[in-house]
Amino acid sequence: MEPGDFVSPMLAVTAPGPFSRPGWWFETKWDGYRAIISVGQRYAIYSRRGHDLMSWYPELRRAQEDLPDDIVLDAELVAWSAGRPHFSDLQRRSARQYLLMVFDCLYSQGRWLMHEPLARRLEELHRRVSTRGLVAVSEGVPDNGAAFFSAVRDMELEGVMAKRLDSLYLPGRRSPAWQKFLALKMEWFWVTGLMEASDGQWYWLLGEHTEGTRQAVGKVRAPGGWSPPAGIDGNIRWVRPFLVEVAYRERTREGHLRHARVRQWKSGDLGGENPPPGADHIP
Amino acid sequence: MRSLYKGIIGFGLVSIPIQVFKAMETERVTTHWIHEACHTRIQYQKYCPACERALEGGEVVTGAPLPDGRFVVLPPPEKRPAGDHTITILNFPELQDIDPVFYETAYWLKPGPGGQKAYALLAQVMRDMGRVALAEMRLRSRPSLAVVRAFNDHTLMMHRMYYPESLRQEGSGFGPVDLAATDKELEMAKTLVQHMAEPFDPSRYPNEHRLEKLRQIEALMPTAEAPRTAQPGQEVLDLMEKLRASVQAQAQHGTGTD
Repeated sequence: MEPGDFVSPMLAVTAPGPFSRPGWWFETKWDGYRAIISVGQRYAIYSRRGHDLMSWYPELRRAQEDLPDDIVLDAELVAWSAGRPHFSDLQRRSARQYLLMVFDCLYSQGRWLMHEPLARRLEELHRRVSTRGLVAVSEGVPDNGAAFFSAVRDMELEGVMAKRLDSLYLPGRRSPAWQKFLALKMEWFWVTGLMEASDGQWYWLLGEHTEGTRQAVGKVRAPGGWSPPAGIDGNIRWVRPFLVEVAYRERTREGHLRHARVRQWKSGDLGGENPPPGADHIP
Repeated sequence: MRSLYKGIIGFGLVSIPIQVFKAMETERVTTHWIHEACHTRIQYQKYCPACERALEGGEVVTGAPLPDGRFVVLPPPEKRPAGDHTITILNFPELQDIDPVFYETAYWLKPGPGGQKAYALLAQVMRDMGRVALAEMRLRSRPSLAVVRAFNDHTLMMHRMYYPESLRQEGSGFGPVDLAATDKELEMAKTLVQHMAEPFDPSRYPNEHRLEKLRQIEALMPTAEAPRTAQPGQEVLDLMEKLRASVQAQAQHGTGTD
């Protein structure tokens, strides 16, 4: 294996709940596409399944200036706007800014590091890579996973990755040495209607099928840049339903979603693009 | 004004829920060190000169030096459960018994839900009797002595105190002892003091230095420039810094394990 080749990324199991534990490292789980960055004989950024992310996001070519030579990094590609990642901008390839949140170093200066403990790989990562341009080094905290999780939840980020500091990098394997705590729930719903608020902001009315009937679960702000098809105006319009994935914090007693926001949606009558086929998000 | 913490004044069998607020605004005008070239706030790194690299939070521990140059490593401070902020009243001296040298920081106390009556009662009784409450308090994990007193007819104030043993005693002997002045000299000095005797009027003493600095900032406002830091990298750093600060605050307030 040479730098420049694809390394299948290591995967995490879902933890039953957040925990604090000595000897573990806790970092933000960024909401984007997994990216394996290889700088060797050639420069490549691979998706989780080894597709070429740069063909979908040509902007990433510029990231080479911000990366050192002779290195392989594990990262998450995010679309960044207004101080936080926005998955829907990534999905529509409409982001003004992309960022590679790098969190692991698999190879550096002639040596593979996958058989070395995470603590050592992080050291190498911080030694060789710094935050600039399209590259940001994802930081974390040791031991105190519960507090980190509650901070991540307060900022409405996706979740926390918990990793044993003595764990090796197991390409393509889903290992209990990596665990994730999810702060947001993700679920697919039907958009059944559109509503325009008095300030001109559009909302999508959401429903779900339970026991054969369709239940309303509330509304979600339509993604930035989305506009309703021609001919639609007024307060509430019912539309041919289409599917939307919503990230939310929790449900109210009535089953409505709190802190809901659109993550991605399937093309329907209202436009919107399919996700790039090569870019498979980690579930 | 943000409350520092919620706590309880323990007074015999009565406990009064209160909120604690810092009483004094900092006198300094906020300024930061920035890099002149790009107006970015500089960062400090924990650097180990022996290992020649910057350290991460988890690699740094507290060490107490011994006279021979060795260090003992102290365990991290014990986490205290949230809400363990008790102000326990020890006794009620008179205010003039306590020398002002012991006062450190002043806090406003605001009655919490259900504490209004007992709070008002404590304030009124101390005022009527000309007494203050000497108490033991905890702020974060640090215990201190404190004085709780009625600031006016209805509001309590708390002063965190230095421990009496912190006072450097040798200073109290700096003044000469056997230097008798003549009656005439004493008379003259007294006349002078009487001549200048005035009640204290807080409004007569604005902080001129601070006002001058604020005027200076206002005059320079047209030249203000945003940091020329590559966005959004700075935003990511800010976000991660906020996460770290929140973890740290939770660890300090002992709420990290929910």
